[in-house]
Amino acid sequence: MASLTDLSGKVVLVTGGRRGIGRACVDLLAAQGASVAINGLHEPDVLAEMAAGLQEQYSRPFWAFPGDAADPKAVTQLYQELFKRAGRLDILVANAGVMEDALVGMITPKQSTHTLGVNVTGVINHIQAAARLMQRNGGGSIVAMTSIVGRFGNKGQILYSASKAAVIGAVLSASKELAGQNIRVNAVAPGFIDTDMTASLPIAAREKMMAAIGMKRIGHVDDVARVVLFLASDLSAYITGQILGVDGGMVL
Amino acid sequence: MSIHQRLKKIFQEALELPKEMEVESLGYRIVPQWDSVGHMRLVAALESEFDILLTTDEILDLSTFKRGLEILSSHGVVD
Repeated sequence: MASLTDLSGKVVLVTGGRRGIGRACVDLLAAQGASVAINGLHEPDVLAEMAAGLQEQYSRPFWAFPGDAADPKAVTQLYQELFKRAGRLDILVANAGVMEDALVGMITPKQSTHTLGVNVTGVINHIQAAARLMQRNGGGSIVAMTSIVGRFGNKGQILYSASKAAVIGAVLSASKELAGQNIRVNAVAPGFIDTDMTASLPIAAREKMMAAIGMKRIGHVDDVARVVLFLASDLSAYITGQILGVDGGMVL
Repeated sequence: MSIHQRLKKIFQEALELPKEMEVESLGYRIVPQWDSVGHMRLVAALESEFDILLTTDEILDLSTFKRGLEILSSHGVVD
């Protein structure tokens, strides 16, 4: 019997796949047999090198698609190109996101536009486009990245929390709309994970976060990627519309 | 079969229209079958038949049969 996590022949798109959780997802899904299209906003050369390296390692196609998730034209172009080159899409990991912390009264309109543009509009742009490619092949799986703060809130993170709560709303609605087309839509809600994004937090904030984690360790990007694999693969074939926390028992 | 005939067949099947209905004069939401759900079925069938991927603007703009032909033409789908 084939492994339920086997992704051979599947085409995956990971947004924000250049580093952190996205990169871990690219590596794990590739190791399970998938061909992966890697999207990222910055450093297109690095993306291209990543794709070329994986292609050499696994002897199957990988693609680099630089572009801004918040720009609907760029997203459309990405899917047109993906369609031309891969011909299908089975799994979307909508991971691209930004985190800009600011206290009440100090959130600028520019920060709002940027954060909501990438974290919310970007995810919706990708869900829309991905669903149309997936329905052509009889279904697929969409995994969006939300956050523990989107469920429970956190001081200084109104904007980020709001954007991640919006992702949960989008996932819940999309799961209802797309279930009939055999497209599952779920979200992963990481807690405090060791990434470049969380490394930018002040030391005091990091220590406070650590104290709130029941398992007394900061999460690793692989902890999140394994749950993404679960939701992307047939292990979760009958699961849709769920928000799965990956937080080591963190309490905010 | 011409592009016109193929598109007509797609409209008839995706929107579940009676065969005697004149497809060429149809417009979005003019008949009950061409509602938002029917529209997405139409888009999926059209993309599949002609092996193209429409943009969001084109999906929203696909409001008549004639517009469908024009959109196909812009993707290089011509007789």
